[in-house]
Amino acid sequence: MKKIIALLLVAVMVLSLAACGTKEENTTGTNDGTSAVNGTGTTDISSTGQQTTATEGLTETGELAAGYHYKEEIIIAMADEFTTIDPMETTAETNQIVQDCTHDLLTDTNLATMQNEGELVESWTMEDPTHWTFTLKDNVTFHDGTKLDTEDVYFTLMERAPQHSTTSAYAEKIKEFTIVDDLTFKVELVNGDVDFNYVFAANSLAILSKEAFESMPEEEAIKIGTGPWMYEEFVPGDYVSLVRFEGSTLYPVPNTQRLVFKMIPEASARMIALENGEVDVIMSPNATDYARLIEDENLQLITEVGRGQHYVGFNLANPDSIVTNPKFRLAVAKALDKEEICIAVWDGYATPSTNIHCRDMGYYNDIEGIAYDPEGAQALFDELGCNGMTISLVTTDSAVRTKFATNVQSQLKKYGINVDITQYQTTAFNELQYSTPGETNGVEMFILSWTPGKNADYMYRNTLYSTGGRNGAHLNDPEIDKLIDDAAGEMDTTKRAELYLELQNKLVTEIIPWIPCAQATLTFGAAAGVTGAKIHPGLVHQFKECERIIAD
Amino acid sequence: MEERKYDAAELKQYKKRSRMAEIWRNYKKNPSAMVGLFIVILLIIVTLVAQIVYDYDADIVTQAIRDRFIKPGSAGHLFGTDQYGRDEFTRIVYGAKYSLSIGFISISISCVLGIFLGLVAGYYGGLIENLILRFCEIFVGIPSLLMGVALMSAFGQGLGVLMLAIGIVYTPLFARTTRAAVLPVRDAEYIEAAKIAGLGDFAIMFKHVLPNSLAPIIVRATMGIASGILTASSLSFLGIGVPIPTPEWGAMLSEGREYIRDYGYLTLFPGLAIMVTILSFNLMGDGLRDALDPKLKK
Amino acid sequence: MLRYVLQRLLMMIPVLVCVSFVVFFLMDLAPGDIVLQIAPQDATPEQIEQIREELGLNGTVFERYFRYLKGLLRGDMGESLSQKRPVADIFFERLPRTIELAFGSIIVAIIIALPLGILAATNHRSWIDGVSMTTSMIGVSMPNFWFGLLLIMAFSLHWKLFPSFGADAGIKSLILPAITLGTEQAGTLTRITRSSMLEVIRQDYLRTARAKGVPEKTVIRKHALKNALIPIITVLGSTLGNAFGGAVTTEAIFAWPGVGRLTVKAVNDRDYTLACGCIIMFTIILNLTLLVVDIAYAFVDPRIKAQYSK
Repeated sequence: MKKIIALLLVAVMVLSLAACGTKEENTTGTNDGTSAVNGTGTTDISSTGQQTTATEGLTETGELAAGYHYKEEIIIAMADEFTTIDPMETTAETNQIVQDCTHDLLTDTNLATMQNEGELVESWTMEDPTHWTFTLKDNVTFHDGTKLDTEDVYFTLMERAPQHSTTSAYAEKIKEFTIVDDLTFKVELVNGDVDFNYVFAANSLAILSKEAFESMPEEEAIKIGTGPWMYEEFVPGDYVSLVRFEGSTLYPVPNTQRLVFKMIPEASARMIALENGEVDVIMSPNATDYARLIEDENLQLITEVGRGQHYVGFNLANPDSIVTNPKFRLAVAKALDKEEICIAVWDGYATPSTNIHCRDMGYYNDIEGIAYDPEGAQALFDELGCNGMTISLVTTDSAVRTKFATNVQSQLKKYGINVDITQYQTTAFNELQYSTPGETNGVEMFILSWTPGKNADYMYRNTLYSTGGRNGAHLNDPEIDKLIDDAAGEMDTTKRAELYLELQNKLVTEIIPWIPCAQATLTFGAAAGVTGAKIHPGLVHQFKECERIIAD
Repeated sequence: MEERKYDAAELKQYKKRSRMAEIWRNYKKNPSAMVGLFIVILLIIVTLVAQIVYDYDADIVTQAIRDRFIKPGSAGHLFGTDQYGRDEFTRIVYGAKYSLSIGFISISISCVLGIFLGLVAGYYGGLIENLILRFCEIFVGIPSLLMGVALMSAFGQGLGVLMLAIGIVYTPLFARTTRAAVLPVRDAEYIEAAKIAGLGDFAIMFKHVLPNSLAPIIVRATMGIASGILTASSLSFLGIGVPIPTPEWGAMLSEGREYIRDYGYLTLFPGLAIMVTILSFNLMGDGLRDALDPKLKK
Repeated sequence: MLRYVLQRLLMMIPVLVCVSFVVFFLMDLAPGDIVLQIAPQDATPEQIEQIREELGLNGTVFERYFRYLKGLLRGDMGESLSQKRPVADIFFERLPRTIELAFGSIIVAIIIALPLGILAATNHRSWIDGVSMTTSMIGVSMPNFWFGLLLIMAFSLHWKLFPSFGADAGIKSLILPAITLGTEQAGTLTRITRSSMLEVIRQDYLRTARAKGVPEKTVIRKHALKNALIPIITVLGSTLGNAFGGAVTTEAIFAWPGVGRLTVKAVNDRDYTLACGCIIMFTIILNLTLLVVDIAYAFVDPRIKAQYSK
């Protein structure tokens, strides 16, 4: 009998080994754990990056070479579910990725330069921080054949946006909207904002067609945008498919005929689907698959430094906790080895942070911050009598935060500090942290990330300003508030840069509401020949010009 | 199968044996059930030893990033190390405690609640029975995993909550089993006799009704432990299992799946551990069922 | 018979009221607020309050529950808070896929369980019995998200026989998820097949058939199996019911667009209406399945049919 059970167990092992068998050969040595620490063992992905070089199958002038053609359909595998066509109904990036293909914004981030530029807008002028004039691009066509004009913008911003929860806050910034002519409009703001153009880069403010809403039922009209792709079919929970817009004028008509977004929640399953040729692009592959993507000549790895700042935060308003003692926060900042965090959490595919401000944003300063200093940390902990104490840490239940929290727990353990981790579902975590301003709910430490979607001000306004809606640290420092306000209102860029430098130094080395730890590398896996799959550091990836060239 | 003829003397002796011994005798005949029992006992011993040998802080919490992904069989790491450089063997052995206690405690909870409800329903009958049965129907109607998700969401994460949630999920099953087992006993003469003798309802229920309807409940409980462990692992997969860094096998399996292609052993070991444990409890349950079922006796 | 069916259907109403009550209150108890999820990150407290009102989330839990119940009793499950569409639409869009998977898994379970169960029963207490039962239990002993991943790696990556995800390739996409879920169901089914076969095999009429010289194969196939079918059908009914709601992990691994994952997502998002609606629908489906099973009995067993017509 025992033999039989043993046999069955062996059968299972054989199945799993057969399943694991193939790749052993082609990754030999590349992901060896020990060498990963000093950086030689991890796959070098620095050479990949966003595609800039010519692709095989294209001539130097960008024409299709003989013997090649464009693949008719491109299938993109996402990790999360696409749930709604209406851009005003959502702030979820997965929805916005698809909506970005079909609808355009007034202004958008140029992924090459990371600057805010006009998308539907040709140019703008700011008379003063409360008065702005925008001019639309001429000859932009909606999917229903009508031309884009200022009436559409008025309809979107002033009529439809105020009715929707995700957009009403933006609409309320505008005091008066004046139509000058078909292509020019002026706005007067309630409060002056020198970076008002960034507001129009919010994906929920995609411009809709007024004519469509007048002539069609709402669920059809909402599909009409100016993007190079049009909705074909949406099967909730399964896929959403787009077809190219032959009349596209703002962007060139895509060479691909059909773009399909599918959801595959398991990262390993996504990778297998890509290897099998079932899909063309996959989002967020497992780090252990990077080597496979680079070495397989039929596949490629696309990378970009993410804009998300992953940090350990402190609840400064919890009077019962030692975290309100700046010395303790300094000690923790010295105690954490950020290189180790990068390896434990992202398998080394992340950049350790020294500054709270995100690396690729304007007004980033390469400041020194607080260096890893275990002896200094131990001395401080000893001085505070921390040995053997227990501190609580809360975070959400995502895989990244789970790894992050266990590593921080392990690191602080070495200094004799016990970390008691509680994980919450995102909804519950948000309520714990932000539901009632000023209420601390007994939180001491937390792990979170912040991906500022827009300008430098956005980096601080919501998270570190005393009245910010996402101020989990409950930082309430008039000096910081003033610096944030001054920097945002400063017209002179040199002076503004100085203000931001002062703000960053103050936050990182003096107040320490957060310990900035890392910015992770964002990745796509793609089949060879795929171009135009662009990673957005703020996670709203772009597929407007996604194509794939294959040999006949 | 060999037919055996008993002579009169042997038969007499046979009857004298207590029921327990008889069950054990029947149980022993079943080799797969014995293997199951053997493994379960072994697991319990391993659990107890692990508590003495290993230290939670030093062996479970502390990571050694420099030693990550050491292959199984390397010196000092029989099962290799995981993505944080923690020894996989230590985690598996130490983790037996969690998987077993989740199984045992959660099923104990549902046993206690279920037996009580089932006894009351079966013994009193009428409206009470109807109400309890309807109540069970409601809970049985909700798929157990979804119910687990809802309960875990409501009461938050934690080992205790997990056990309670699984316990509640399986309660109606035991209530129904108990009631079904009580029904044939309810009208038996000795119960009548006990009533006439003036014994209280609860005394009769627990002293006379329950012991005589225990067999199917024990079988259910044994297999329930297996289901409990499995449900816990599914909840871990859905991200609402035990708090980190508890080395519960389901959580380890779920975390390891990211590395399934390059470091398959990170899923193989916890997976096999779960599989062997559940198989053992199921084999035990099957064996018990056969041993307790008078119809299958020859 | 008809009266019995009607009676059973009416009985479902109080059960549904209770289910909705339980789920609604559990969801209310759960920390987390969908409004904070929907509102933009820079919304003011007033705007958040306004959104709460728009979504009908103001008032005490009792007020909200009675509002919900009023709609429910009129057959209106309301609108999903996160998707802003009627719950019924969302659920029924996905239901066909779930039914497909449930039936696929049942077929797999039957293919595994019937032969193993019969083999075990006819060779009672021999080594064949042991092997059959142990084999049938392997599937139920493996956490199915692990088993599913192994299947994908073996059959889809290594041997390239089946697609690795989704439900587009017809029967080919169904095979791996159905095996994953079906092997899990097979354990119980084999056990029941075995024990009901064992019981039937000992019946007198089989002894008679054997005595008449009917070959053993025919005895098993024609006489024993037919009579052992009743308990098997019962289990099949509840197994099917479980397959509808218990496929969450299988759905996640194979990116199968079913209702199980939808429900978990709804609970996680604190989408009260969608979560309640889905669970209520599951309860209805399970109850209907059990009813169908009861009726199926009547056809298999004339003795039971006679009871209904009384």
